[in-house]
Amino acid sequence: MIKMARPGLFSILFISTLLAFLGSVVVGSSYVGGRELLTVLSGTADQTTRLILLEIRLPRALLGLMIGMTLGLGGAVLQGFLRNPLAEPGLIGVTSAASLGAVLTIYSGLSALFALALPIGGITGALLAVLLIQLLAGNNSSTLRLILAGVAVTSFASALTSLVLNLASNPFIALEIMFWLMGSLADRSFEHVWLSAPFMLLGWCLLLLQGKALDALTLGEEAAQSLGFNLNHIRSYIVIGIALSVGAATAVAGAIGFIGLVVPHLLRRWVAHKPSSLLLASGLGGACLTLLADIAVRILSTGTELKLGVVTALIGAPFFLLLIMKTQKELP
Amino acid sequence: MKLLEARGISIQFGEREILNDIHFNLGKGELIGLIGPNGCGKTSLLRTLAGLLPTKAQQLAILGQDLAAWNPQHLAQKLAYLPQGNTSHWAVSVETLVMLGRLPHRKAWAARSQTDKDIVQQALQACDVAQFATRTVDTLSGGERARVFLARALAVQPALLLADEPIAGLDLGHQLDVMEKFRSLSNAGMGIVTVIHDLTLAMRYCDKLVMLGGHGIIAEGIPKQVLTAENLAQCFHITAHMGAIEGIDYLIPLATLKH
Repeated sequence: MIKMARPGLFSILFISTLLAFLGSVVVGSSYVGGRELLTVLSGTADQTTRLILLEIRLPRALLGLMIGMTLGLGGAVLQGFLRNPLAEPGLIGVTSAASLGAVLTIYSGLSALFALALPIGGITGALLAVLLIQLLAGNNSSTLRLILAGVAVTSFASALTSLVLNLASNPFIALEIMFWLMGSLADRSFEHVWLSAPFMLLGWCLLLLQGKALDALTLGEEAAQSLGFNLNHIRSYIVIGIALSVGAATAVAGAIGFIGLVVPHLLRRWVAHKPSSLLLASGLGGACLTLLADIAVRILSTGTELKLGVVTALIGAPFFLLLIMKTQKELP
Repeated sequence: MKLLEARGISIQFGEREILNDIHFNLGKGELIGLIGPNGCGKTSLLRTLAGLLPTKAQQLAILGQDLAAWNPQHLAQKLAYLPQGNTSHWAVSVETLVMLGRLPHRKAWAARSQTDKDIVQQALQACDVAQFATRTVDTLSGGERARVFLARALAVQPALLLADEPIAGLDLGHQLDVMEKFRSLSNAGMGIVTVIHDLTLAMRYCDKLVMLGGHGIIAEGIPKQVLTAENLAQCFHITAHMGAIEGIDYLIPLATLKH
């Protein structure tokens, strides 16, 4: 029965993601319908429609797709690796370090000088976080040490981000930082896509390759090792994969929380709890949910646009609480 | 050729010495019981033999090849390790769990082959769990769980099996079943090392016992030679009654010795 359901699940997720992607291209403050879409595709569209679709909506939809994929996949990998349904990419400090890197470029004025400084700062932050985590957690260490190192990096990066806000003498810069920290896909261009896509793709490859190791980890670390998996290598691949993909995602869109937590959890039962089957499913699910949330942001906004990160947190935080309560009941 | 040949194994956790200068051999078709009091280092020794603990050993060879020289995946095809506790972190189906034992035999991207499926079916049947292959592991009783995890180890089709207290928590019938299973596997050529607390079953089924205590081996050899009144007193601080009924030896602990 489960085997029958699985191809079905993937087609549903794939089609939903595709529809959400098209929706993301179509929905916005100025209406673009199917006819306009066709004119653009056939190259007969007028200047304004082309500009809206190709320069504004398309990069936004592409980023939503890729960032959602990154967060869903990253969450599924980390939950499988740490064998904990409460894990998510933010847990190992990458998100906050990427945020710090980006915030520093805003604070120093670099981002005002050239637009790409912001994502570059974010990715640099993420990579530094990984180096720090590898240094703190060591190459030969337990999962617990990895989590603790992640907590330490997160606290430190958050403290530094607060310090930057604290020291920002210019209220406009402080406001810009605040807005950026909330996480959004608005006003992103193809430059952002090109800059972040290679890192995300590379990260995905590293993460998707770990399926069998994650399956083996169902039996615990020792049994997985006895099945021929080198956990030190796998830990490194996963940490680097998360840093590249989530770091790049955070660098262009700010912190978008809870997608990586909620999606794997919702989909787990549909893949019969098998960690390797959850990877792609969760990636697609994350893409779909992020695109939908980003559409919701545009529909709900009147005047001031709601920030995507705020909306996902508003939905995600109560869900997280429910999850904790449910886990408590299940545990003996 | 020995399946497993270890000389001069010493295990330390930080400053604390667990075992010192242990020699251990396992031959083809041999079933060895590892006995000793709690905390004497049985599990640590088993983990070391499985290559899961870094060790200072003069020599540790599996199938005649030094442990360090083994490719991890190739080693995993020959050696199965069954840890204590039968942990499954996700509620996967019994069949999926047993299929994990085939991972060392599959290439990185290969799907499960018909051979894999057949071997999993055999392992399920051998451990008497085929009837609930589609159930998820979180719905099983302790005894059912233990047999499913044994099936997972057998699905590896290893040359040697290192099992840590595989019959702990099983009812008497299933304890006998598992030991019978071990006996027939070793008769078929598999080398098995098992940590075991039930000395009557250890005596009955094992070819050889290794008694650990005081950072070293107290005694080893044929069960009856190992389980002497003197050794039991030294190792477990007990007196015991030994007898035989219908040709089956048994051991009943009588009293603990003050020390």
